[in-house]
Amino acid sequence: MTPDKTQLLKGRIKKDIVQLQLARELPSYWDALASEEESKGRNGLSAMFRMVQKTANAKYQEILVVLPDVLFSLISSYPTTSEKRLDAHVAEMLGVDSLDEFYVCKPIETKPPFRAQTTVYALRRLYIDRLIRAAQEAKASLISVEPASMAFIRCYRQWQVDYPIIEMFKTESTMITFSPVGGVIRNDTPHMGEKELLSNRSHADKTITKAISVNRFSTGESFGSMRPDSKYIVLSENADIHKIPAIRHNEHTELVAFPDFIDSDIPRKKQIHWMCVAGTFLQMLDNNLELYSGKHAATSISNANLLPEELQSKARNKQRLKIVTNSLKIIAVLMGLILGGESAATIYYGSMEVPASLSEDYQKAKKDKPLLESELKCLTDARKQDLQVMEAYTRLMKARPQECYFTNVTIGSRDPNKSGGNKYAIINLISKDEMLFNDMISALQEDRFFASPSLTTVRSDQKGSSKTGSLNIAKGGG
Amino acid sequence: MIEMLRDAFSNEGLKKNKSLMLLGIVSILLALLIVLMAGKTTSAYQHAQEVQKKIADMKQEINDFEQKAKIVNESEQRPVTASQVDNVQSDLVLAVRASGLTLLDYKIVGGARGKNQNFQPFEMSVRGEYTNVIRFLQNFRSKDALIRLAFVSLKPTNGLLEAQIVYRIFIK
Repeated sequence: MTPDKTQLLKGRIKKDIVQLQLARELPSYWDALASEEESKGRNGLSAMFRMVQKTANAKYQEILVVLPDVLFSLISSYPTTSEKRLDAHVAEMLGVDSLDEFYVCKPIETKPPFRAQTTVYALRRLYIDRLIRAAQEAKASLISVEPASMAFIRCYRQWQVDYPIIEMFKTESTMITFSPVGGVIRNDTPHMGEKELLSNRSHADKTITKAISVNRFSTGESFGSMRPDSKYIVLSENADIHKIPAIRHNEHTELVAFPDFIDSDIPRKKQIHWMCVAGTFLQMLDNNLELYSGKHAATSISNANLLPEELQSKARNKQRLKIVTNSLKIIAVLMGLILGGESAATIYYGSMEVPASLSEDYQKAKKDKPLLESELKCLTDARKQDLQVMEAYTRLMKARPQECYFTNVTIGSRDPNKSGGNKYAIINLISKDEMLFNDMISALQEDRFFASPSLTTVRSDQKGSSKTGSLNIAKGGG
Repeated sequence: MIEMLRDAFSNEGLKKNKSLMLLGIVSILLALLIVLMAGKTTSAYQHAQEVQKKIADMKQEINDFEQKAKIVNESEQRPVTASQVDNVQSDLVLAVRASGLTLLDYKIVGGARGKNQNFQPFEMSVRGEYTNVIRFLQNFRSKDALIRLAFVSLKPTNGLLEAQIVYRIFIK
């Protein structure tokens, strides 16, 4: 959340990789955060949470908020002492009796061989309490509120050098310096809002130069040592600001971009303006060795989440319950559908019956079948037993030579199982010329209806004027 | 996770998470119903399979019957009932007379019809003019009764032709 706009990033952490799925800029809700009227401020922030959920399609996701350092009442590094004494000192610096009105975190601690120092961030309770209440109203799971500088430092991952950052907005700005040997301090930079600088360019140079030299002095005092030539990381999207000579001469020009384990579609040149937002995801990468690679063991970096631990875990539990409830709803609906399907299938399959008309036809067929099969057998047997007796007689008559006569003809068989064999037809012939018997045989041999015609006997009568013969014929295949 | 469940199931948690509790109970009930229903659905499905098989068998049976009935109905000649045999015989005897032939003999062959025999054989002897005998034999039928000439013996006798035939009347 900045005074000028609200930057929204949606991400997913999978195996120590942060996958950024959405980067969007929303209107600023700064007025709601800083409003004097509690209910107006809370309503505005509720609207922000609802907008975030809608834009990111994140009704069941956890939400982390990053606040610009300009909002904090105190950001400084003090010699490490007992917690009670440190808190008392911080209260003194804030001009209050106790820190009850503030949320405090101590995310950086340095130890020998460096100076033993503790970095303290203090923010008025009303801001965080308002965010908490607004999140509850919007049914959002707020699990973290971090200062922008800590998120940036974590994302930038330069643990061996000190560097200053200028956070610049339209009407506000602040200067943060990180040192691996001392932690973080802030220097106020009044009159360094973008609008004011650009409205009076000749004065801008002086203002900036003065702020830089004050910062150099105070960081030297606080940290004991500071690179005299440190370049300033200027977080301003206004191109004209970067053209101001004092900025141009002191600006860090190397590319500042996400580490490799943040996967994003944001162009690398523009990633610098999203470092504060992306960096807050990295507080969940405890096992990522790359994150703190190069950091000295004497520099201890911990979570800068200002939300009370109890609230964090409550929010997380609520979030998980929401997911479980939602999943149960889906499961219940699916089970309802399955049950519906099963019931429909049971009714459908259970109601299946043999159609009455089919059953009737079947019974009728079954009843008539024996008679029908008997008829069919008769037809089959009749076909088998058909010896074509009269057909044979007609052919025999056709094959009979003239002057050759039949005295007796028998065709067929009395036995239904036999066709008569070679006595299918027996003809007794009479003729004056026995050669005619051979003619008959030749004629019969040419007719495939008959087979194996054979003259079994030939006799002459007493006078010798006529011959009688007996011809046996089998049935052929034709 | 344990803390989450502890919060959810605490007195305060239960009050706040009524909907979750209800959902949980409904889900468990639904799961039980699904399991119970699964058995019924399976047996209904098996019943449906049996019915379908029965229908298929019946259709097959009916189809088979219809095909056989078609063969029988398309046949020009069909077997007669036992009670119709006498009528068939009468027709044949009338045909003998109508052909101008003399019926010499007529008898049943082989005694009563056997149990598995689907025809009754008869023997008949006729005498007459040659052309009349041949015409009678070639037109040997009785309406659409299924009759087969099994055996014919032809012998000229005194200028006429004598025929001895064995025929079978098929009985359904």
